[in-house]
Amino acid sequence: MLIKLAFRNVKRQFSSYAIYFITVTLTITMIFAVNNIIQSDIMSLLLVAYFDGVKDILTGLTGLLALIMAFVLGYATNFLLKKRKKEFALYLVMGMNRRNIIGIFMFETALTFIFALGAGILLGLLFYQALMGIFTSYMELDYTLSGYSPVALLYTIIIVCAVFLLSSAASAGYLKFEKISKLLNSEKIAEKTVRHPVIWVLAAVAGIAGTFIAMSLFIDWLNTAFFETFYLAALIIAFAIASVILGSMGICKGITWLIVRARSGRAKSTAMFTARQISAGASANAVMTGLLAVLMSLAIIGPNIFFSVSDIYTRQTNENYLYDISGGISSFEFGEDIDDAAFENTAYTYVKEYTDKISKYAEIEKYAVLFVYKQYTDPDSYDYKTLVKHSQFVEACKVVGYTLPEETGQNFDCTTSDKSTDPFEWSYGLLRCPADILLNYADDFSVVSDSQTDGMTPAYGILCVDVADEKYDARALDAEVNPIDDRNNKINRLTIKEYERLDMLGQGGLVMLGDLYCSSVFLLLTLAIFSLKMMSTVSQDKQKYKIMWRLGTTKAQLFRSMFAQLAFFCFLPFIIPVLINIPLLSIIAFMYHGYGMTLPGETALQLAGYTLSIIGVCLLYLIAASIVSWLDIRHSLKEES
Amino acid sequence: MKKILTVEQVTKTFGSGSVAVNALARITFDVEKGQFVAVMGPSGSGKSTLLNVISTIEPPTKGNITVDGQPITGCGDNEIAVFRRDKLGFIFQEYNLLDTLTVAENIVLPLNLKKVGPAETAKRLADIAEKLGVTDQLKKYPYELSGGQRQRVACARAVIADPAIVLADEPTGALDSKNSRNLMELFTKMNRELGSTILMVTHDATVASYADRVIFLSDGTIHTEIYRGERSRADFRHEIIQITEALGVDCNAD
Repeated sequence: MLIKLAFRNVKRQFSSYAIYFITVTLTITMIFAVNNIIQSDIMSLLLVAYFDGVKDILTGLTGLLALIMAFVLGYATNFLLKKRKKEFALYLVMGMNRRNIIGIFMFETALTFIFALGAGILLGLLFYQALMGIFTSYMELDYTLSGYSPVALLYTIIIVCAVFLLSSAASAGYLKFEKISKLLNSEKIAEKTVRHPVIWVLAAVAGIAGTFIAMSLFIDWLNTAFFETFYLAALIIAFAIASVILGSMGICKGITWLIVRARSGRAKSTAMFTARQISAGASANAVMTGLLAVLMSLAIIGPNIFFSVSDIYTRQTNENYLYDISGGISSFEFGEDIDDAAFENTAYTYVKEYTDKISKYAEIEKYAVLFVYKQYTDPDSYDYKTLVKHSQFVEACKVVGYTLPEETGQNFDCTTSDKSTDPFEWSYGLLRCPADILLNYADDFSVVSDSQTDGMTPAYGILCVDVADEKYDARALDAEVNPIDDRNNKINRLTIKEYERLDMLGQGGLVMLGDLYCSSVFLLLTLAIFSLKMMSTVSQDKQKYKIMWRLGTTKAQLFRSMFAQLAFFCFLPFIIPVLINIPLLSIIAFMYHGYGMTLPGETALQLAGYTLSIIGVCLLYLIAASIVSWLDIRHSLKEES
Repeated sequence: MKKILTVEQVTKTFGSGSVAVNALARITFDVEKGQFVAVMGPSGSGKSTLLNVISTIEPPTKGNITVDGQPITGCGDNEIAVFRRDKLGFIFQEYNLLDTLTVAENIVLPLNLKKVGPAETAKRLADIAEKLGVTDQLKKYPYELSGGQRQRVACARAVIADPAIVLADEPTGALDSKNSRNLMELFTKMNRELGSTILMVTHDATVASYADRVIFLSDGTIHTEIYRGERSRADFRHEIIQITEALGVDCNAD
């Protein structure tokens, strides 16, 4: 009998349970996908390559997600309970005992939860592949359908079931101990008006100003105290969060009051009803809106900072490495007492070995070998001049696409600039070369005619290579030419620019994963709460829509009013996060500046694009919530007739 | 006298086939402009169904209804909404005020829906609030008022747009006897001073005795109807009680 009642309840309360189902499904999807990533082969490889502790951090994040899920699930269960309090009170009045009621509610939620678990895992399988697709594409790894982990499945089931049992226990406790009179009268709570609205208007202004000030302080901190006073950064971040919450609450309680005041006495059609509804709803949900605004701000700030850092890494790699592939050949490798001819012969043996290995992975466009000589100015001192042969220097310049003018002669002095991206420049007979032209061996040197080095033994040789391919399997080439020795140390023979870039991306990839993860969780949490809040609000307001309809409001007017209210609540937490883009752009500009770069024009587009895409996701939620809510209202209007 | 409401051969059937129930069976009557009519009858006699059919909340199965010369059967959703907005005023047992709006905003809601300008709205609000004695409450919210005050506000909202007819569904149902009496005096005032035409459903003989005319329903048909004429309210009430007792109704004749 009770089971039959529970089944019937789920069927009758379809719209409420649909929201519960969607929220739980999406949460499980997220947990399952992230657990799969943590257990994936790619993650294992990255962790070996970079940082073992990251796995602990990610596992910790899963714990955080479980906490967030507990919050969402608790909120969703509370939403269902709130709608059913009167019904449960009536069951009690009719003589049903509390154990039966708890049984009915538990059975209903468990039934929905089991379906959500199945749906969440199925969706999680797809979401995991999508996340891995993004991740591998960013890491420039080959994407193959990633394998699923039974451990991840087990972890997911354990986590979500534990969270479900916890939230069920809380609901059971509530139903066990709450007074019947309170359950019966739960709907008769009058909505409160805003107190001290002018103060809240000021709070809105102060909050928005505070957010800007906090971000400006953060820029100052980056500029002056970075790596020194982290407690200061923590204080600034706390100030920023407090400002976002205060600003959002001010908007909820103050700005909406201003809107109502402006409308008062001049409203037409359903405008006053809509404005008052928004004002009452915003006021009641001010704190929640503030918290959501913080989450949305983090969701917007995180990826934007990350993508900018990633761009800076790529640019920095270009500035740090002049040659596509380069390496030094030191006389220490051959012994001290080696003569010129023997050094050159041995060096070319290495060059042959290296170029053969490189050719297996990338097509060599051009390569050059440059011997560097030390000419001691006084046999009794260590002062020396660095010399390179003219013919070899000409070839090395060609590797980086520079042709020496013929009129320069065969003897001239050179110096190096700060960046590898700087051009070759002649000034008063001195050639300024890009950094790294002699790798790190000398900043100043002289190019001399080949004959001047006759009889000298090179101090070292430099191999510089230009490869035709922009993208190739640099990881594999690195593994072949720079092997790991018996003591687990890497032997660095060649520097591979593409590998260095991928290496930086790899480190960034871990940050990206954490960032994508957090942003998705924040977004999910925000949207889940949005939808529950919206549905809950509309559900509570059905009687008002009925009254408006009886008074002669058309269904189209009712829909517009409902949509305006939902849209306001959906986009209210975005006001400050969207404004945050302005100081955020300054912070990103500062980051570029810190690396000696100027802010690329497309960064503003990146910010706008990312923010719009988050708003787009919310818009989809808004449309879905509007459809479900409108069907609910229409159903109640039909019941009325 | 101009006929404001015409109900002709109206039938309302719920269900179909062997389980069909006739809530209203070929009911016919008129209400003239300025009349105050009460509808009484035992539970299940069709009182509320009649009100719902007239207020377009439910369509009749058969028959025609005309309000202020406008037939309401066979209209579309939007036309019906506009009809309700322009021609009808409602007073419900549970007041049905919107708790997010102030008293003033609740009262002017029908004018807002009709898109009446602010100056005219303010003038009419001041006028109606004074006549119905709610001027002091205009800035308050419904939850700050007593039941009787809320029903006054509901009355002000019902008549502010000068509807063709005010429909009241058990308006005293949630009030004590003193507030019921006050409300009925207000109805009388609305009827006499504002010229409102009122159709009220009630099961209370004392409340019905304030009307000019009482229609008694039984099993979905008009059992009888009586007019007060020049009689005192006490005499009229006595006759109402006699009829309701004959119909077997508990008529709250306190």
